Amino acid sequence: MEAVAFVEVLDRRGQVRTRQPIVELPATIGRDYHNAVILDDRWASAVHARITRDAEGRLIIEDAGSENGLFRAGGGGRARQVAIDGAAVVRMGRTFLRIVDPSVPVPPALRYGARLPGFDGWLEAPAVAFTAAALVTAAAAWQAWAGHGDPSDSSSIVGATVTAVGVLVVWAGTWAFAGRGSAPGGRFLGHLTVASATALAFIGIITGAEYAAFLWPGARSVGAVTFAVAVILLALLFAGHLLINTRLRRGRLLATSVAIAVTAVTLVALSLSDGGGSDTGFSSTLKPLRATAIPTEDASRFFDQLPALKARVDSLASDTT
Amino acid sequence: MGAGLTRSLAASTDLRPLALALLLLAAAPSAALARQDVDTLAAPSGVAAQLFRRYADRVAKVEVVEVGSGAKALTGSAFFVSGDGLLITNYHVVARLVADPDRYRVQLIDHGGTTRSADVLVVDVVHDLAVLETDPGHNDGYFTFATDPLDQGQRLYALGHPLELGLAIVEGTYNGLLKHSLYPRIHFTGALNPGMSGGPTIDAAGDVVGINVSTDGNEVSFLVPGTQAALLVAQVEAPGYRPPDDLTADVARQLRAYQRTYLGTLFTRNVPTTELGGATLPTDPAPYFNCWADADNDPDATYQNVVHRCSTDDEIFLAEDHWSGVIEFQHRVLTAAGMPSAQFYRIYQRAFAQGTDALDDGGDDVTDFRCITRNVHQGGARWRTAFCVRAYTQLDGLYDAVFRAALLGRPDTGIITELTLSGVTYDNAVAVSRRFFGLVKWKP
Repeated sequence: MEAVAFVEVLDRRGQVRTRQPIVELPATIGRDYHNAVILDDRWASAVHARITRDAEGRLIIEDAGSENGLFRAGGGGRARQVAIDGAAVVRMGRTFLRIVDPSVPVPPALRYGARLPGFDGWLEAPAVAFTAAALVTAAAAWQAWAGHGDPSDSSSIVGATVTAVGVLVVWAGTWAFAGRGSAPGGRFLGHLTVASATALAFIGIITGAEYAAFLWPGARSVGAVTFAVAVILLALLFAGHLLINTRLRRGRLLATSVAIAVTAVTLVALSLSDGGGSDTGFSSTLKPLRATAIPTEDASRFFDQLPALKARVDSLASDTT
Repeated sequence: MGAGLTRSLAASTDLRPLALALLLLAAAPSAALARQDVDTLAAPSGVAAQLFRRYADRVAKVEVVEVGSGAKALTGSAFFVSGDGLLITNYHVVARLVADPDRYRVQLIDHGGTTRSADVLVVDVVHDLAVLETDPGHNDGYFTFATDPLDQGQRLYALGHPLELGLAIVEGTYNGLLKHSLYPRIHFTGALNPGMSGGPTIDAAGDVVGINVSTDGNEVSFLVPGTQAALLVAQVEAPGYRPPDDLTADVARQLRAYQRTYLGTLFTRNVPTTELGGATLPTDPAPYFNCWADADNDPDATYQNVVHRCSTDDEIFLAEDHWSGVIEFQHRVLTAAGMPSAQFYRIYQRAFAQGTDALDDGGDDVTDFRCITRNVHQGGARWRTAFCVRAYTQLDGLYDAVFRAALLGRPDTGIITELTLSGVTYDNAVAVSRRFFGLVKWKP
C-alpha cells in the first residue's frame, strides 16, 4: 500500500533518526502503543496529535487534546493544527518530528560543486570561505608590514601570515570537529567563513576605533561604542557556529550566543580594569590623513580646557593621602 | 649602587651631561665602589694637616636612625655654625626625617666620638640645606663663612665622613659656578665621596665657602655656596625667629616660591628659535638652560631622526625616587626617506607615545598622570596636543606636567615637541605650556 505521509523523528541536530510511512489517515501519534507512530517521550501524551486532512483535503497535523500541546518548530505558540504543505517540522513533548507529504516532488539532485540551497549553502561555498580567509590573512600581513620599521625584513610578515592561517584553520576545524555528524560534508568551510567574516569585522572595528580615537580624541563614547560592537560581533560569531552545528530554535540560539559573548567580554574587561586607571586620557594615535580631513580646534581652546583637569588629579592626590 | 644615589632618569641621560650622585651614604654600600674611591683620596698637604687639626672638632657625622630597628638608615656630615648648637647639613641628608618624622630620628657623632641627638630646625629645599639644632652644652668652636670672592684654581679643603671611614679632609680646587642652573652651585675639583654630604668645604683661612652636595665622579664635585648657608643661619639667628611648625608644608611653600621665580617670565619675550623640519621652534630661552642637538647620520636608514633638547641643571632632591625642579623641552623631527606613510606613521606614533620620559617614577609621592588630548591648529599647521599632569601627594599645590604636540597632516614628516615641567603649580603648568606652544610655527 502506498504511503500517504511519512513521519520522521529528528535528533537535536535535525538529522532523521527514524522514518515511518503512514498508509492510512487519520493516523495518531503518541506514547500509547495503539498509535500509528509511537513516541518514547515522557512529555508526550498517550494520544498526542493526529495526521489527517482538513475540509479542503489538505494534509494537516492537529492537536489530539494533549497535555503539553503541539508546536511549530522554530517558534510560535501552541498550535491547534499545522498545515503540512509539502513538509513541516513540529514539536510535541520534547520530540521533533518532520511530517512529509510524498506527493510533493523532492528537489532535483545537486550537481557536484554546486552551492547548497539557502544561507548554509552560501556560507559553505568554497569561493566565499577561501576569499574571506584570504582577506583576513592579507589584513594580518598588512598590519605586520605597517608595524615594523624595516621593509627589507619580511620575517614578521611571514610570521603574521602563518599565524593568521593557523588560527583560522584550528578555530574552524575545532568547530567542525565538535559538530561532526550534524550534516554531511562541507561544514569546515562554513565555519571558516563564519570565523573569517568575524575576524574581518573585528579588524574593521579596531581600525575604525583607531581612526575615531585619532579624529575625536576628546570623545569618551568611542571606547564604549567599540566595546558594544565587539560584544555584538562576538555574539554573531558564536551564533554563526551554532547555527551550522545545531538545530536549536532561533531565540535560544541568539540567547546562548549573547550570553557567551557578554560573559567573555566581561571577563576580559574585568581582567583589564584590574590594573586600575590604565585610561589616563592620553591618546597617542597618529594617522597619515590629509590636514584638511582632520577636525581641529584653536590651540587657545585646548589650553582653556586644561584647568578642568586639576580637580581630577587633586582627587587622586586626596585618595592617596 | 648602594653607596650614593644615582639619578634614575635612564632614558634621558643620552643628552644629559651631568649625572649627579648625592654624597649620601645609605645602608649597604658597594665594596667595589668604596675601594676605588678610597684610592682617589688626595694626600693632605701641610695646610690640610693644620686645618684638620684645628677644625676636626667642628664637623660631626650625621646618622639618620630608623626608630623601629634602631639601625642607621643613612649617614652624612654636618658642621657647627654657632656656639649655641646650630649645625648646617644638606636637606637630602635629613629628607626622610622631614617626610616621616615618626619613623626616623637624627643623631650626631662628633670627632671625639660623643653621640648626641638633634632636631631639624628649618630646611632650604631649593639649595639643599638644613639647619640642625642640638643641645648647646658643647664648648667646641664653630665655623664662619667666607665673604671674599674666590679665584678659579684656588685651593679648597672639603671635610666630611666618607664611607664610614672616619673624618677625612680632601684637597681640591675651586672651578667657578655651574653655568646652566638658576641657583648657584660651585664646581669643586676634588674627590667627594658618599657620606660627605653636608660637610663644609673651607679655604686656607678656615672659612666655609661651600657645603659638599654631589659628585659626577672623576673628581667633578659640587658645593652649595656658603653664602646660601650664611643667609639661612642669619635668618634663624635673627631675633624673634620662629621655626616652621610643619616642615613638609614649608618645603611645599619654598618649592612654590621657587617655581614662581623660575617660570615667571619663561617663554615670554626674546626667545631664540631654531628651524627644524620646516618648523620654527623655541630654544635656549634663558641662560640657565643648556641645549644639545643630535641626529642620525645613517644613509641607509628609512627615516631620519633629529633631536634638539634643552634643560636646566636645577634638580631638587625630594626623595630617593623623586627629584623635582627640572624644566626640560625637546623637539624631535622624523623624516621618512622613501618609507610608505603607513609604516612611517607607526614609528611616529610610537615616538609620540614614548615621549622623553624625563620625569622620575616618584613612587608614592605623586599620583598617576591624567591627561587631555585634542587636535588643534596653531602656527599654520595642525597638531595633536596632549597635556598630562600628576599631583604631589605630600606637598600641597605642586604638580609635574608634560605638554606634548605632534605635527599632523604630513605623510613624510613628523615633529614631536615636548615640554616637561616638574614641581610647579597647576596654573603655571598651563600658562608655561601655553606660552611654549605659542612659539611653535610651521613654515610651508
